Amino acid sequence: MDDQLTGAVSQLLEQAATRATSAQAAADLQAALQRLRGPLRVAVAGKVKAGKSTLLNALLGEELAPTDAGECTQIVTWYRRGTGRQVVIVPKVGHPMPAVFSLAGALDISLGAHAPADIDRLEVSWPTRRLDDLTIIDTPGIASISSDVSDRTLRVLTPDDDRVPVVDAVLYLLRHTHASDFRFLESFHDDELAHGTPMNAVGVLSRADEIGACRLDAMEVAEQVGIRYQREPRLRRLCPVVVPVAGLLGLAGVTLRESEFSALRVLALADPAEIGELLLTADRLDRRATQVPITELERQHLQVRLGLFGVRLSVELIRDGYAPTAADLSRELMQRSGFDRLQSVLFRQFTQRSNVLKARSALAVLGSVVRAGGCSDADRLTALAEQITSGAHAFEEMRLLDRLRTGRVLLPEPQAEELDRLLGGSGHDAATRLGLPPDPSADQVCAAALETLSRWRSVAEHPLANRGVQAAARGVQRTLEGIVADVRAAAPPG
Amino acid sequence: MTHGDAPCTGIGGIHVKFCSGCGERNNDTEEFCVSCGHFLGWSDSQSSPAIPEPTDEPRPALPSKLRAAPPATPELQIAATLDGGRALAMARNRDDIAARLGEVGKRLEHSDVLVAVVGEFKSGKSTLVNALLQTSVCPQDADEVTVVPTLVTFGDPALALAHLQASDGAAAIAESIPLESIAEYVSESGNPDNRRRLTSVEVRLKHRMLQTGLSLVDTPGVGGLDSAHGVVSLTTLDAAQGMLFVTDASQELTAPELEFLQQALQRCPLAACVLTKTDLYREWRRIAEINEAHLRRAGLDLPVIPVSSFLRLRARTHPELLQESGFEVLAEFLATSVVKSVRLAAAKSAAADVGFAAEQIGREIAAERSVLVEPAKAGQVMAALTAARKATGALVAPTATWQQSLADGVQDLVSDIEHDLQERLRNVLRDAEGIIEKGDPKDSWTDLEGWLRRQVAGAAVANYDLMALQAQEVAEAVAEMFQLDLQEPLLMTTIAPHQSLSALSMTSRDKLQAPGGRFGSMLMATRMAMFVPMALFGLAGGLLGVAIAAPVTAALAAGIGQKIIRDEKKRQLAYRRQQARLAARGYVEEVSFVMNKQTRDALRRTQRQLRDEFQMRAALMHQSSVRAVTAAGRALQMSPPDRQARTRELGTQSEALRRLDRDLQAVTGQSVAV
Repeated sequence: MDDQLTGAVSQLLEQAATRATSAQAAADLQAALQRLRGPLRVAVAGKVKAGKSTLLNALLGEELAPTDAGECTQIVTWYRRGTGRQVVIVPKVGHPMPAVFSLAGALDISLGAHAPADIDRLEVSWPTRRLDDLTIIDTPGIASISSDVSDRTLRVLTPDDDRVPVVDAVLYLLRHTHASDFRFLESFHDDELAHGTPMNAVGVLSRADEIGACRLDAMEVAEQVGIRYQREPRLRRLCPVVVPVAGLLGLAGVTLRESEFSALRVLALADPAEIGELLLTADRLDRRATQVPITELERQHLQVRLGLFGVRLSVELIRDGYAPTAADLSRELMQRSGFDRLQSVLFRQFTQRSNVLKARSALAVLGSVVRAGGCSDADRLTALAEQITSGAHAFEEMRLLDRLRTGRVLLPEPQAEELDRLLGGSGHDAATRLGLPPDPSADQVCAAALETLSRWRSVAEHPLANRGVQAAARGVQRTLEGIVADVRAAAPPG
Repeated sequence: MTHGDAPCTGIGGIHVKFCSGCGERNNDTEEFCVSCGHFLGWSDSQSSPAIPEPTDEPRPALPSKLRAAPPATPELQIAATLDGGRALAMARNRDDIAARLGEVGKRLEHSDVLVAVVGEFKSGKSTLVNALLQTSVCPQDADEVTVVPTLVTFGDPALALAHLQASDGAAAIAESIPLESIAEYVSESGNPDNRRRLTSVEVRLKHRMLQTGLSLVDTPGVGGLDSAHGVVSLTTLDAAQGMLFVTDASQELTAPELEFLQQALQRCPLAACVLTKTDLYREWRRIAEINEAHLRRAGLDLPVIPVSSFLRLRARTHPELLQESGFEVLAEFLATSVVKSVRLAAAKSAAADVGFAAEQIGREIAAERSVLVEPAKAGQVMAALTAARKATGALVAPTATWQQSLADGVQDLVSDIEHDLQERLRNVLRDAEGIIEKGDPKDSWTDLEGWLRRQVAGAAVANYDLMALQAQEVAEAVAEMFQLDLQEPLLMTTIAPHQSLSALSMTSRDKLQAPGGRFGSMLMATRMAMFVPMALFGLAGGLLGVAIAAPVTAALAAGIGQKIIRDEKKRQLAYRRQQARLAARGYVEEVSFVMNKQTRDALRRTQRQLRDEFQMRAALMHQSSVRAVTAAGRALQMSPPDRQARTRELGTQSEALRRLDRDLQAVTGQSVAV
């Protein structure tokens, strides 16, 4: 069905392109078409020092983005799949031109004669599989702004939907703040680029290990904070899922080297009392005189790469036998840093529905071109677009989810949660929607779907249910009918 | 190591307890986990729920300056002058002056040093207070946040008091609470949005560091520096003598932090910037340098002190960590820069009082002496003294101009301040209503509420500042009236010519005691009597309790037309806006009610204090002039040998007086070394 959707939308865009009345309109539509067929665009947004670049590097699996506050994070940078390594400067005025760069740890791009203010964006093409499905966009950190609150927050909470989104989805990096802090929502600073809605935003509670003071239970503490964030109604409307991630640890997990593992092993096998002293503070790890056969340089390297928490955790994992090899440790670190979970959330929230998200972005482009008078036969194109949006059930599901999450469908909490799940809020596969354990049998799926269907049918038909609820219940019925039909088609009874 | 192990419950829990932080097994007598420093709970021995007497601890001593003052401090010097003054007063049978000096001495002994701990959300303020005292009185948690200011001060036995904001604006109520359940009162989970309406929690501990008169206030971190709490925290600095601004080593000082610091330093210039969590961040040295540069650039002169509270708490069991924790530097700062200079200021204030007493005695001696030495001028002197007696007599009378001026001044001030507050609050309310009109309260309420609280707190604080300033002016005006009433210049010129007294530079001392001249100590007391805004903490949180949530929707039967639904939506929006407006107005009204009551009380307190103080002075002065007339009259009647003996006696007394004067100069001439 999703492929049908992509097909229908690209067909419509092609049609519109033939009716374009200006070169600009034609170019816009062509770009939209390419974007529809290309990878999903995800922006990483958040405040200064929120750990954006670290997380980005973890996602890229390489240390590309400079992690110290340098000039480059002042400029929007796109990371996309390329056949070779290439960096292109796209100025605000004029033609893109290749930039000179070097790889000294992180990417060091020379801007040449360009002033940072004149540059629209940098485009980094890199040959890595991790960019196959995603184009990642690094945004400049939002600086702390002082206390003019009301208007801005209101704008973030009620975004107008006419704008054409530059990205398809947004990853918001949140730091540990208090809900009553007006800066709580500052990470959601709304701009042209990172324009999230509850449908395409995921929150990341970054530098999670520091919340629990780098103690071994730090991630559990961060988990609690994440849960508190998810309960915060305002935040839930902006991004319903918040994942605590220790970015540095995730990056270390992705890129762990054998030499680093052996250094950690030396630490793990040494006298526990001495190691306890050594790992007491960051300073000691760097330069305490010790009998443990490991140089200061190695220790400092470990701390830069893994952080104090990372070293403490790795030593513990190796000592307790969880990580006999570098590969095991790498796996453990990725899992414990929350990075694995983030990836699966990204997969569920973005990749699984990337077609829908991209189609939505493409239709938004078409809409703005048509409104601006860029096409002849505007009415017919609008009608066709309308037909696609109202016809595709995926769109309907998204619309209902959006309404549900922004509080426009009033339901008691358990029912609302179920509705969210059924509409694909936590994942698109049938098992996730029905709340079944992974890989259920066809019969299980069928039975669960039918049972749920009858329940929601009665909700839809309840005479006292209001219109919003009725519409939502009808939408869910259609989702469930689709699931039943799919199961039956795949495995005919008997 | 048992770091990762699950707590083993099989082992009898009587002699062992497990750390909830890291799982480490600890002896029952430990209060802090020996592995991670996590607080384990009060020691089980029922007899001493409080901190064990710290002197028994084998850990290194704090800088000795905190304990006992070494000799030749201004306090000791002033104590000597107090004794001298008292002896002199007794010699002249002035029990009233002696008693007055006794009071001054007592006040000097009990002068407290209040240090406020302020800083951003989660910067480690409570932990810093705990680490400083090596206790666990302030609840600390990775996610929990303090919502009520906590005052930690000396007391034996240890106890905790919760100060409540009475709903009708009446005087605050103090309620005794168990020490181990402080968390239920001051942290967010136990007291969400400060529903208990506490203005503060006071903890009294028997601790060596506090015994010196040092008290610490842990301010709420909730909402950050820019919130209502942050604004109100600023005013606690008015009552504090020292400030510790806390920021952690995870990142450099932010713009809001610097802004806050700038305002805070104007209220409390004795401050240090404490960089916490140095144990977690290897780059803390660089952050400290960057922060120093930030402060320099902003023109703020305060030291950056990097500390690790974690190490300091752990130093209880591992004394060798103390040096590494950086707390020695902090304790040193508190001991020298804060405590010492506060003590010096107190000594100077006491010196002013001794000076006043000396002046009274000096006047008597001078009168008697001038009659004895120059009998020819006796008639003139007697006339002047009689005139002075009349003048001081008028000063004591309830009809004295200064009394009128005080009563009128305070009266005017009350109405001025009330009007100012009304106007400020009305502006806030108007802005709030504007915002409500622009949006749907369903979406914006939470933010609006925070905004409103901050604005209201800002208005209240500005109002308070105005009151403090104007009260000071009233006090100064009254002091001026007092002088005028006294016709002192006349008095001084009549008596002063005698060369034996010219060395007593009574007037020059006044200049040394700026600000406030001879009334310096009084005006200082005025400022302390005004400390109102603590009440705002009770109001800053949990204001409305009104949830402008989605209202009950009418069940709309299917088939009702679109228009009706639209109208219904409009109606609901209007209803929500109305609700929001009412809530905002209700809150503002309540704040205005409480603040007005508080302002009135504070001003009345100030009035009473000023009146008592001036009245006491007037009485002393009147007594002096009455006695001067009597003594001069008696001297006139004396036989020549008696005269000679009396002259010698007076010579000794004025010699003592001169010594006293010299000692006072020594104290007041010292500058505060920061």
